[in-house]
Amino acid sequence: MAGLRDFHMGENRFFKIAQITDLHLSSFRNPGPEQRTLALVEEIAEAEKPDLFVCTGDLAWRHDCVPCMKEFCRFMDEHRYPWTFAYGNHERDYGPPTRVLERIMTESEYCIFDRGPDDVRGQSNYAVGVYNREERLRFLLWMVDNCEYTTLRGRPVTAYIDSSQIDWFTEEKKRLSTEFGDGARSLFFMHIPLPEYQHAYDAGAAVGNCLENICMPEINSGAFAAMLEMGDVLGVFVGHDHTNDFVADWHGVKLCYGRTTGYCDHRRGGYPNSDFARGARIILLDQQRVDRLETYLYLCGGEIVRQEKGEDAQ
Amino acid sequence: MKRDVLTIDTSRPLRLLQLTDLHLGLHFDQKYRRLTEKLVRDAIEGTSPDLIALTGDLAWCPETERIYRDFCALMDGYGIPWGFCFGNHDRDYVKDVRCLEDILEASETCLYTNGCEEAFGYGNYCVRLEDGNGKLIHALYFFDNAWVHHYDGMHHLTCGSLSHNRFFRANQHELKRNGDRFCVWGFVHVPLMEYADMWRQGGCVGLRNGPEAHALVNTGLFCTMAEDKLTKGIFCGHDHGTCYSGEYYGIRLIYGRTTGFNQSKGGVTVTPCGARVCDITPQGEVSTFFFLEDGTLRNADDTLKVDL
Repeated sequence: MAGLRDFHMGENRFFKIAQITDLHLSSFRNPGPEQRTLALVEEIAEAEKPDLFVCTGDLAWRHDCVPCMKEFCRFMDEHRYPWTFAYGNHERDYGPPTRVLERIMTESEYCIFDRGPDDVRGQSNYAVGVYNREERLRFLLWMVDNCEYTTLRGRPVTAYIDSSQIDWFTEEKKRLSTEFGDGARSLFFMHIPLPEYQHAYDAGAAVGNCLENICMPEINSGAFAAMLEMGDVLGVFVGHDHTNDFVADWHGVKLCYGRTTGYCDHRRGGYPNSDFARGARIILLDQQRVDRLETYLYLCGGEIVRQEKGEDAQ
Repeated sequence: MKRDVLTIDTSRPLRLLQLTDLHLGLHFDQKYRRLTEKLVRDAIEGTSPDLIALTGDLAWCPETERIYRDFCALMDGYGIPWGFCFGNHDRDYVKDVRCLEDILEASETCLYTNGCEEAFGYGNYCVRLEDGNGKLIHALYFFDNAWVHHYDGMHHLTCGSLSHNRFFRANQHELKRNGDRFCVWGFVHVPLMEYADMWRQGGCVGLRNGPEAHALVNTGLFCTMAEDKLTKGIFCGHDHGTCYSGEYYGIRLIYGRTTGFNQSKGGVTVTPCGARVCDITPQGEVSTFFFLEDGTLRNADDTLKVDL
């Protein structure tokens, strides 16, 4: 069953995911922000005990992409943290071909990674299944590659999820439903927000921080509409905009930003707001109530932020 | 007449007359109906189009079927082929859309067919315009993007469906098999979300009577059509009094000119009614102007009188 690696919940009622994003690892040669970032990942693991880490892109960047990926895989293997990955834009900014990073990830014991079908655009399109005690598929975690910048009729545009990807996840969902029964819910993980994040924000649906522009594709390929047509999507989880962390309920789907996990020195191409506490988004899935998606932020130091309507953004 | 292929004269531009939002009724709106039908006749006789496109909302009353029959008879009297896509009001009072389809398909001149069965709604189809040698010059796509899944307050939550994109891509794949270069045009009732993006970007010509009443969720039809380099333009209606056009990613996005005098329940018209005329070259260049209710012609931004 290519493209699907599985988790079995066994006797556990809950499945917990920690979404880490935009780690921006750039060099391990000197003690620096990279060590703080990994220490934060360890802190999250100990405090929240997630079943799975999902990294929504920009794990590593710049020229040291390869050693950083190796170091991160080694770290995750050493701590026995299972994790999945969807590419961000920076892995490919100056870096080596994705085949090199792909080999490192597939050789790592705790990294669950798949390049995805060749006729689908992108290099990290795959699904991870979560099964219950009766071995019924309860949740599908979709990793989607936003790809790099592209052009449409000569105009540069932020890469959008294209029709080959939309057809892939809608068809794959149908196939899996036939094979493992209906009733599974989907969660999508990718790096760049969908245009609907802006629509939801404009409509006042967002709860949480929106401290910078929502950097989304200029062109809407209908990916969100496809998710609505699937009818089983609980949420979408992205990164990319480092000081945005809001959740917006939009037509029954939770559009979520993660919380930036990486420390990066301000002088080295860092974040617009260096005081912004780093953290992770925690996602709690309940196999007895599959339609309920509980999510909150874990911030460095242990603070929990529940973003609910009527509560002030932190 | 074969409904999916027409032969056109390529020695001169094709003249397309776009009618939209006629909102014909039989009751309190009889007066508007007479005025609207007169305008349709005047526009056809005054501009002599090769082809007519009606972008939805032909009827808006309980006797929709009778309206359809009468209108088809009127159009058959001119013998000019006309394409049609459904609007939202066409089905307000209709239990079985199949009855309306039967009437349209019985018309001698109407190009409507139910079309692609897998595509959501009624009447997603393609009409091919060929030259005398059978070479494809224009492909016209009609989509039913006014058959609504849900209502969310005043707005349509989703109009259309990704099945329209799949129909378009598959049909284009077929048409491109023999390697012809041709122009692709889309016809829908509800404006695509990109109309609003284009307006914000600036450079549009014509009137904008309030925000675009597009769907709240974008199903990606514009993206799908833009990815195809042959696409030249998209026509819509729906927003009464709005008649601007512009260019977005190299595609002409065009509003029709509201033709029906009954523009709201009170029957108030906000701007002079009319119809849009487009002269389209075989290469896909468009020059466009309006035919107005008083019989005058106006240029595309509605400021200057023009003569034919």
